[in-house]
Amino acid sequence: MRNKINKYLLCYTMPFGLLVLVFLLQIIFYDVPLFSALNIKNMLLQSVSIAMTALGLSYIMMSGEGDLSFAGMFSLLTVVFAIVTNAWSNFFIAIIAITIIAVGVNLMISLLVTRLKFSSFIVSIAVMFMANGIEKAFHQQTTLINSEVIKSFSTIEFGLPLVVWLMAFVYLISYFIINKTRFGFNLRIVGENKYAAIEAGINSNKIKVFAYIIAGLLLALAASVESTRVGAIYEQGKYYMLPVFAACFFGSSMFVPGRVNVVGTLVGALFLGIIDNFMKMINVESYIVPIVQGTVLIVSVALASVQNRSKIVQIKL
Amino acid sequence: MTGNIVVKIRGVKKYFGATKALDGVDLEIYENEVHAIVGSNGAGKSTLMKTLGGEYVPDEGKFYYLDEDITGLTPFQIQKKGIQIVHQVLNIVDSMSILENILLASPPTKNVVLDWKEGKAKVKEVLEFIGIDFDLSKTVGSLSISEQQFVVLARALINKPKVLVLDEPNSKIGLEETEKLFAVIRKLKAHGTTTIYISHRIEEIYQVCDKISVFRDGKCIDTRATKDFPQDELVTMMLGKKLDVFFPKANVETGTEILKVVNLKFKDKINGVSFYVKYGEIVSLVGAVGAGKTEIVNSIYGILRPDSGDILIDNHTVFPNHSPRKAIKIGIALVPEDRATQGMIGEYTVKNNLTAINMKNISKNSFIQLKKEVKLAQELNDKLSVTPNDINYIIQSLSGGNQQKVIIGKWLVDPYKLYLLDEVTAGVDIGAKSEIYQLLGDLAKGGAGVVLATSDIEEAIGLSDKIIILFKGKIVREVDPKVTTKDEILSYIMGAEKYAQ
Repeated sequence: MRNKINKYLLCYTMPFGLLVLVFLLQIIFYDVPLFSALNIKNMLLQSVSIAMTALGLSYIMMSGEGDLSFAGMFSLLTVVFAIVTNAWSNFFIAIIAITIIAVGVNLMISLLVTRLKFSSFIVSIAVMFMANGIEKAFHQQTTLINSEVIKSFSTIEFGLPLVVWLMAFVYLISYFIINKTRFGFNLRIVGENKYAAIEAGINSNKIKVFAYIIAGLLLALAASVESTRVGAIYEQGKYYMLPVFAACFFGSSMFVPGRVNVVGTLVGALFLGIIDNFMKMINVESYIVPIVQGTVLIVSVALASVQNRSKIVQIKL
Repeated sequence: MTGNIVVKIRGVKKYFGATKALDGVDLEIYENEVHAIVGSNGAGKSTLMKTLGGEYVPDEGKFYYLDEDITGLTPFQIQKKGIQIVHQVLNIVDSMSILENILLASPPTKNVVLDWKEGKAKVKEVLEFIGIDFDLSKTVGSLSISEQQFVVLARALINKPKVLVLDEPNSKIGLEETEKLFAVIRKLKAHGTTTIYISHRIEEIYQVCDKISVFRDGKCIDTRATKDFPQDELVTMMLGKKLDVFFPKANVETGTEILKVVNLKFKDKINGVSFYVKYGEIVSLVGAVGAGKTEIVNSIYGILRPDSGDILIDNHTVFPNHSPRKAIKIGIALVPEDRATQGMIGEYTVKNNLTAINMKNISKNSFIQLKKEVKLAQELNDKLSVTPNDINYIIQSLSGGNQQKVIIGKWLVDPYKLYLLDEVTAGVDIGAKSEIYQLLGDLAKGGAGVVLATSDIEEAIGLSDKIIILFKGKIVREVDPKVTTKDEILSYIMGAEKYAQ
């Protein structure tokens, strides 16, 4: 019984605490309409790209690897998206183009990591900088602005904006994949203990490659969503690196303590969206935002490692 | 013995670089037998089993399973054929439940969805067969090592293998659990499963095995029925020489008390333990897994902070501010239970491991004097007769017994007053064991106090001046090894409370 209570405390204290925190903010700043329908819609809209990118990163992290390339790739993909749509004014060609690029690059990274045993951390940093460089090259000629046609996509609504439904959909599918299918089960085993995976006859390399490909798909989706939301394109990924990381790590402090998990990542991404949105509404200086996000990252890493440690103590003693 | 040959091994060779791990192994395993494979560390037993299981591909030779050539198949294919290997290392996923861990390799699915309900029924059946009851939703990380061993065993049995290989399954589990394991092996035999059993504990092999194969230097040198294999002959054959001194404890004049532990308490692991050790004395702490031996030893060394009680060295308390650093300073040495993670730096050389705590002997003005370092390491290596005799060898590629010799060896440079040894011979072959016993005897002769935490009763009787028996963190009895018997100690360890007063 005590164990059960402990388990629930470990798993659900964080999300509950977040809820309390948000309500407290609302009470303290009573003149900010945090919970108005319009604001909730805006907040969700702002969270979609973070949430999708973070979900992709979650797959990679669950397979026991890491990734930073998304920050640079995100910028590059939005630029390619703008160029393609401006040239052909076709939404779908653009989506297909950036999906091919994103999946291709992630496939390349995954092959370097699994076949040549490169450190995923180092490879992805290199890719991040390369993507940043290529993006800058595109900016040399003109300022890239998304056409109004594209932006009209963000106004499609069915109760909630289309892209929010899209986010809900990919999370639902991912929850199912990770927790209910053999692939998800194997993915978690590979990430936890590669020797156990070998013993269970799991092809770790294949699983990792798949994780990277899924992450690539999600990144392309996130970049498309971003393109429908913003006008001028310039280094979009720069603003995503921190919140995406923070969402994953923050998520790992809830539901499955000490482990990156789907629901946790979603709650993490939404929480960062709320904080971001809140800071905009009370008009804090823009330099405050990354400081707050960095703090969230540190706190979440601390929480996750405390939970991990408490588990280790259980084993040893 | 009659019956079909299940596994036939023909001329298998396997090289790792210049090292011949397997040098032409021929072996037949018959249906429905319990076949022991014995040999020193590094004789090739585990390598052979990994090659049989498909993890390594042999450089030469063939494996046959029921006359079918299975050489070069992947581990997964070999499992599918019905050969299951339980490795020495527990490959578990800490954060997952017992249920998920047991079904790791074969989670049942309905369409594409995992079907844990069906899995549960299967797992319950296997656990009933083993005779163990688990709360399946608990995470495996929260289990004790011996419970984890049974989780791994259950995983191996879930697909009802024809051949089960157990690679030192009992090096980490207690006596009670070993009995349980043997019951399972006998039951499997009754159900027609062949078991290949690798162990260093020779006594136990005689309890449960039908046949014994002896390995030495990568070859199978003899196979006989257990009843035709006298124990001393077996040991001689394993080592390639006669084992003279086994328990070398000479009568040593004991001095004053070096260590006194007073009413030590820690959570529910240590419940008021008091004892003392004199100079020149070897005191054994004996008990099942979880009896509190490791916790007591770690408290003395300052790794663990006990809740209450006192520890006195030469009649001076070590508290407050006790730490391993201080322990070393006042002359306490520890050989920890888990040598792979606590006892050594696996990827460093033998030399580095030997000299790491002896820096002051080999450095001058904060600079390491390389010549001195090499000299010191070489001297120790010769003294300990570590094989191969190469101080630049990476320690984790040594066999377990040789690793342990290096770990003990680093404490022999400076004189220490008190040696704490936690399961010092676990997973160590009989030859190296004998050498380690010799070392311990010498330490006591030199006047140091020795605390030997062990679950090997023979070792305790053979080596020590005093045996303290622990049960659930309490001392149930203190016995004199000269007048006690193995059975007496065993009864205290297992059913302790009934006998205690």
